[in-house]
Amino acid sequence: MSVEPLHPAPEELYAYRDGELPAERRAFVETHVLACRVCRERMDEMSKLEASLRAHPDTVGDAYYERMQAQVMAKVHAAAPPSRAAIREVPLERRRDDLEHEERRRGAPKLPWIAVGSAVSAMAAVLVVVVLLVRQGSMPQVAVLERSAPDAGGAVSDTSEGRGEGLTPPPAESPAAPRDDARAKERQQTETLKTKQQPTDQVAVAPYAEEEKKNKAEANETGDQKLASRPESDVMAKRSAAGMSKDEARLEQAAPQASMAPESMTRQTFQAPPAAPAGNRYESALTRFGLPPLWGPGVSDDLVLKAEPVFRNLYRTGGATTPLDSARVRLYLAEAARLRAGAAPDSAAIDEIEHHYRRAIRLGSEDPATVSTAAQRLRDFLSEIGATP
Amino acid sequence: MTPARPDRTGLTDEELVRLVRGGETDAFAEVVRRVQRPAYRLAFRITRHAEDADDVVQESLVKAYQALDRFQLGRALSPWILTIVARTALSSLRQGKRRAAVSLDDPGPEGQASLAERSADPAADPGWWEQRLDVERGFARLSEEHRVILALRVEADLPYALIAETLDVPVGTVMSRLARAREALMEQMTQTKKDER
Repeated sequence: MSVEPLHPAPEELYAYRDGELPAERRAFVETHVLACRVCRERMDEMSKLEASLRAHPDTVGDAYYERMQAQVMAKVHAAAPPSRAAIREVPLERRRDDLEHEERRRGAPKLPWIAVGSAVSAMAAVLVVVVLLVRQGSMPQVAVLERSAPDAGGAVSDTSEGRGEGLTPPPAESPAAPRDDARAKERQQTETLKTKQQPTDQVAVAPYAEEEKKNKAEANETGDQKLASRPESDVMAKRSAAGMSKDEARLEQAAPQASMAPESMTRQTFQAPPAAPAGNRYESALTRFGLPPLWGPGVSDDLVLKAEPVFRNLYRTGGATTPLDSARVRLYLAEAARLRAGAAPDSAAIDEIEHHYRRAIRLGSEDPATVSTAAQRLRDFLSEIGATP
Repeated sequence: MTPARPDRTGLTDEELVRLVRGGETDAFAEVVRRVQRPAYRLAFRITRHAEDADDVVQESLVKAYQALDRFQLGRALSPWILTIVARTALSSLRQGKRRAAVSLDDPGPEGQASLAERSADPAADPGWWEQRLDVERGFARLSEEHRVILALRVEADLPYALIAETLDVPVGTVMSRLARAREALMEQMTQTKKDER
């Protein structure tokens, strides 16, 4: 008597294919898929259908988009500019609603407002005690506490109101400090960017480039440290051997959208700092696999295949945010798909490969090397499969 | 004479955002240039009408501009804007602002050929193109709920967490609804094959 194999539920199968399955279920589904022809065929069939949907032609042409851009910009010029004040003036009640909504969305129990109220009362009591102590001369740092109190309540103000005159600058741990620093830094970077648009003024560009480089280095260090502190399960270790887990793990840690983990992990991910700066993850993937920024004929096929899951993750999570990085990710993905498909690619593989090359050409439009490489590879590919370039 | 616009194509999304926040509204034109195609494709998938999609994209991009200070630097800009497009398109559907859906055989905007005609590349295998059209027809027959979630995943390439945020449902619901939508599409294709026999 044959036993019917226990297939994973469709949602798990597709989530696995989308790279969105929680780690603890991934191993089970992966093992099953490797052994089950039925599930593999099901996933292949779905890939073909989706590739076909993605390949449908644009219903409008370039002229249409140029006109749309002009229309949008006319409306943008007529609209009110982005306003930070408008964001800060969100009433407390509304912010509480948002928070409750966010908690509900994560499947967490509602925030116990009674407990929050108690916590606020306790903090107020502590503040009173501290003020009394200071009046007795035992705590000279009270000015800092008093100054940071309005921010702790959520009322963020850009003016000097509530900060007190003649006070010493707030220490690093004051909530107001990083915000002010960030604003000052952003203003400075904006000024620098304005000059960056003039290619002759290279001296003016340098400080921003240095800043960016420093940020990237810091982000890398933080990511590696986080990774090092996270224990790897057997499955993760196995994936590490395949050259794919660390970057995936980093993506899962850094990008909230990649979190399909159990609730505790999800919460942790949502608390994590924002993802690394744009472009950083692409560079980090290149460094990890020893790949050049632009694919070329001398690049090892093995490395391309090993790096493919990481590039696919970058592509899916929008990790490569500059158009040029995106273009180069697409080029690597096209090459990996060609390697996987072998000499006789099926229609889904052809769709995928052609799609990536075309996107690489479009996204890399400002870099002649990327465009010419992608265009040449597309021509070669189309000629290999007997299609008209 | 109008001064030439500076070339901003080499700037990253983040740099563009900083410029716009810093008061250089013109820099937003480059953001528009980068996202308008995927935005239009997504809006068209959801609304199934070219003019509705056009309205939705324009409205969404203006909203994105006005909300740009809420965008968290360091995250990808395109998915953020696509979620605004999706919400606006859904809101347009809910408010009944839509026009009749376009079928594959209706003429394109501005007197262009129909989608079916434009898809029929004479250089390619006719069976392959026919299959593409079948998939499009199968997609058009899906329920609105299934079409929307497939558009968000397949066309916009949004991760599950952002789809959940856009649809205001838990991630688990996204997982199960997406699976059901995919199965429904598969079922449509099976049915089409049966009908052809």
